[in-house]
Amino acid sequence: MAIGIDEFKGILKVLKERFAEKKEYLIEMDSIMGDGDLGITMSKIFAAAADEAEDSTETSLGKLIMKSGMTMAKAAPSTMGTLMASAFMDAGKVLKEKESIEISDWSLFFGGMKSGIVKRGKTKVGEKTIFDVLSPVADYLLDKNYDSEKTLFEDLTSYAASCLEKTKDMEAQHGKAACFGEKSKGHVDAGATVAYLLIETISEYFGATA
Amino acid sequence: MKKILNNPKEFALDTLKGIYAAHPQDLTFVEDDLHCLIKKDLVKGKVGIVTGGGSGHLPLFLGYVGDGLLDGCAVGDVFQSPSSEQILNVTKAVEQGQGVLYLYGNYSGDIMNFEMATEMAEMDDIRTEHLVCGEDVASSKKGEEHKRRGVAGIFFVYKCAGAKADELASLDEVKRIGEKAAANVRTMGFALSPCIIPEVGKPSFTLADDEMEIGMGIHGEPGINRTKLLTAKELVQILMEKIIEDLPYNKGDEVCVLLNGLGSTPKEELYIMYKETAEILEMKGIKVFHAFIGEIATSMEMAGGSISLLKLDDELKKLIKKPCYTPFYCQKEL
Repeated sequence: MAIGIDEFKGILKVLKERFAEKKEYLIEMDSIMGDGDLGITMSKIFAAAADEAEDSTETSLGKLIMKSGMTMAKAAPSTMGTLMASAFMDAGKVLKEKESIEISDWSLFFGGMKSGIVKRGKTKVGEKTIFDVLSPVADYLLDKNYDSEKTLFEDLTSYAASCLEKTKDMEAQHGKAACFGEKSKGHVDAGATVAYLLIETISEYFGATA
Repeated sequence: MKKILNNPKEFALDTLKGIYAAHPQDLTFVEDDLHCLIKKDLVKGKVGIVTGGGSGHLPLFLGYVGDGLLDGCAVGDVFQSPSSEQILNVTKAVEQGQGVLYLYGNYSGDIMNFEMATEMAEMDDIRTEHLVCGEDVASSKKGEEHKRRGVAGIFFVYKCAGAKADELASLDEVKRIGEKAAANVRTMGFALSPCIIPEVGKPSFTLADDEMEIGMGIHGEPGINRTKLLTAKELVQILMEKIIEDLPYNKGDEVCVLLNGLGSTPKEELYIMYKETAEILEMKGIKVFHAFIGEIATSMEMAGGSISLLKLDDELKKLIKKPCYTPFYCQKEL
């Protein structure tokens, strides 16, 4: 099945609901090593993106995704807000001419997210960030074929979970967590958790609609 | 949480409304966005200096917008970067044909948004340069100074760059001076109690009644040592030792000293600390040109503070001496 504008709006809506639910959880997680505002940022940006998309008359799906990114950049321009915004903007650019996302296009979508994060965050794998989930996830999809979004995202969610788990052993290089040095080991990264939640939520969307 | 506010979500916005109501002769905003704050009387032909950062640090950042200091500030929500669009709006408003210097602290959200603003400003043919300040000795070790976070010492960079821009110097010159000031500042902080982000509603860390943390940042970034409460003398000795050896500041140097309170520490305690600071400097043969004591960069109701030193040369000293005025800070000719 191909994902059109209305389905993508639906995905943004479940992301809005999920990140609203996870607000306190992410605040607590971020308070261990960060400023404690991650839950606020994430609930704000997905609420803004979903609300704006709902009223949008945009017919290009790529442009809708890109505009969602721009909305996020305004809604909460903190580090993670800006990174997620850049990820969506680049994912939108990659899919610019498309009116729908085919199964094989999800690799392009996550590839775009990856390039947006690299460009803005100047990070690489192993630095205990959102990139440690988004980058391997994008690469994972490159040589795979799936027969449904449901199987794609189920597979991707379990792979993302393993990537998230690996951030436990990493030492933070960015943001406030970098102040902790060696002590930042032992916890999964809060930003990487956001990437995992994003994938898991999309998976549940397809699980529910399949 | 015990704070005076109407709605936690509107904390930054209501603060800004109060500021514009109180200082209509000095400050205004552009593009119908209270977060885009600029100085009212811009000087023709002068390099614009724009700063930005999260709310919750007054007088940092917007409090240094005024004569002889900065021209504009993009104001974020509490501890959050302003958006690139807000930075761009401020940039366009203060640009006077000589380009704009972006002068801000070393925080990833701010860096990303100022960089995005530069990309957008280029579309409008506005030249921007970046100066990222990070002088908190405790936030990263020697050899990794580029990772250090910007705290109260950024005031000295504002002061020197602002005074230089007032001489109608070029963008490159203003940047050079700012870099020189930044290279000569070191800060160490400490905290006795946490702060609360209004929207979060609870402290992001806890300290026992008899504990303090040395090296704490202005968002509660962890320090390098948690310890039982020290005397002023013991505390200042620890802070000064780290600061002095880091640059290092040597016998015969002349410095400015900045004793900054984080929000809940009374000035009396800062003066007790200054007495100890001055004694150490005298013992080391380091001369104090001027002491700045008060709240320069706060973290809402956090108790604690920081000491910063700026090593002077003739050029920086001349710029520090210049008078300046903002609703939050004014200084006569020194």
